[in-house]
Amino acid sequence: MREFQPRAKEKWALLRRSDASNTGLAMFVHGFRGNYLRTWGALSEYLEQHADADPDLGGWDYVFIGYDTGDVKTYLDISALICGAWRRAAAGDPPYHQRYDRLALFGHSLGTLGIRQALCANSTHSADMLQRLHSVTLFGSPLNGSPLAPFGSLFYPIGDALKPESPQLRMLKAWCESSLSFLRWPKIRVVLGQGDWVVGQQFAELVQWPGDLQPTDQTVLNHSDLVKPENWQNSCVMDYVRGALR
Amino acid sequence: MTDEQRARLEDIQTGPWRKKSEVARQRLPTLSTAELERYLRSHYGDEIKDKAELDFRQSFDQALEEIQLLELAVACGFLPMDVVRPVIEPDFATLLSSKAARAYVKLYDFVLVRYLACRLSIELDIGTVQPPPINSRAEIRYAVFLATHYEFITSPRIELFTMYIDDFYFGERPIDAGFLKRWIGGDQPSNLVPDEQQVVGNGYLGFIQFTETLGDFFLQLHGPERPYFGLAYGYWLSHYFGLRRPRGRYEQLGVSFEDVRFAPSFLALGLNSDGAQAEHERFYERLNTLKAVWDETRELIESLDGINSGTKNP
Repeated sequence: MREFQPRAKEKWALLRRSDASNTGLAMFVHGFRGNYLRTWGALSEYLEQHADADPDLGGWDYVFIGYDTGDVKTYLDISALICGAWRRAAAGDPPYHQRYDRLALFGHSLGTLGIRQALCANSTHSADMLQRLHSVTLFGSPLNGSPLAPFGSLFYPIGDALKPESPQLRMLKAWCESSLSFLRWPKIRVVLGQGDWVVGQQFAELVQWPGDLQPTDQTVLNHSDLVKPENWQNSCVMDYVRGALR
Repeated sequence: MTDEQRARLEDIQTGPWRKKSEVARQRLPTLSTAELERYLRSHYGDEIKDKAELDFRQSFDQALEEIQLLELAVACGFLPMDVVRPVIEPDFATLLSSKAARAYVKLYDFVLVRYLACRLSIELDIGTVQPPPINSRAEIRYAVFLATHYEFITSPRIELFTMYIDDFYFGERPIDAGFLKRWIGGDQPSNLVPDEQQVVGNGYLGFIQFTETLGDFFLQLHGPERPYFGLAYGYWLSHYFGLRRPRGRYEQLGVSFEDVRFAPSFLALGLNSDGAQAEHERFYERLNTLKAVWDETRELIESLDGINSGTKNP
């Protein structure tokens, strides 16, 4: 049985099991101009209806965190939201109802860069975040930025950081590489869409991020559909979520 | 009331629409019947130019919007009626006790307000409606809607675009919905001053956001819930497609964005032609979804007046 705890003003929602005290928390982070619930399509509804009966998903609670794209200037701003949410969740502080000791991260587009940043910004980690990390799955990750970013940057400060070969992106990649020499996090699964022209998938063979599973996983979907399950059973999005939480 | 219900109610009652509705909430009780009739008259054929009247009407719209959000919350099982009733009954008494206010609700198709009145057994004397049954398993869908609506309401660029489709114009050129549509299509005068470039550029981005935000949301809906949620955006969707309803039937009196075409410079930016084409199609899938939802919503609205919308407007 699931209880849903949405907070529209705070761009945050928690779907938790109310008949058991789950200790696993799956965290979803949307992308550029996304929305903490809408980006993921019917995922939250499917989870509410079916997760309890699923051997891979029943033991996890689900939190969807959001931000206003206009308020984000660097990946660090998204990283701070992720690390802050985990800090409270691990301590069982409100709005969470119990302590969590396992974390799975899912990101889309810009949100994936926020997650990469969260992994290597170890001064902001708490509650053994990396040791508690079960899996990391990144959908539509801009491995080499987005060809559409120059247009987005006219209107959003973070757009600059999404331009192909942007200084922020290069710094993040180097930061990840350095951090991996003394930090440990699980291999990152990157899922790309062959129909994704927002970030593309053509860079996957040329631009490899440290710590990613190689080769990347490929689907035929576009950037938006890549994270919206069509249905509960026959959907590659659900396959990746199940696989990541197994 | 549980803590969770209290938190949900507060999310709705303290949304950005609440602050915007304060002008109407404060002024309404002080207005005479004649003033109310003037402030809330139909603007078709009697344009509203007075700033005080405009401010009041926009604020009143926001107060009605909050009622609409509560109706959807009840219908989706997001909040039970016994939680909503004590907070909304005083609002009905304050906001909708006058004939002018009720006529306004009917004229501008605040159908969801009428649904909630019916659920509360409040007689508005503007015709009967039959609200859909409560679907107690749709609370997450409502949460997705509310998340989307917050985004819709707080976006200054969407607000600017809604001014375009609500027949506002900017500057002396003038820059209006027709200008914006032509500009998107590539007819871009080279002598725009910076202020004009900004109002057009942001209007364009507002158009994209409007289409993608609502289109993305409506793409997730199925069956009878599409026009039902469509009612929350009925005014803006009708204007997006250039339709106005001065009398019973919608008429093509404004600029429609249904057939908008993009200058190659917009979508080809940084993409090869396949990519531009794919992004183009993704956008039009959302635009076409808006149109489909609007058609269903329009049919529902017109059915309340006994109008068959099966034939096309001249």
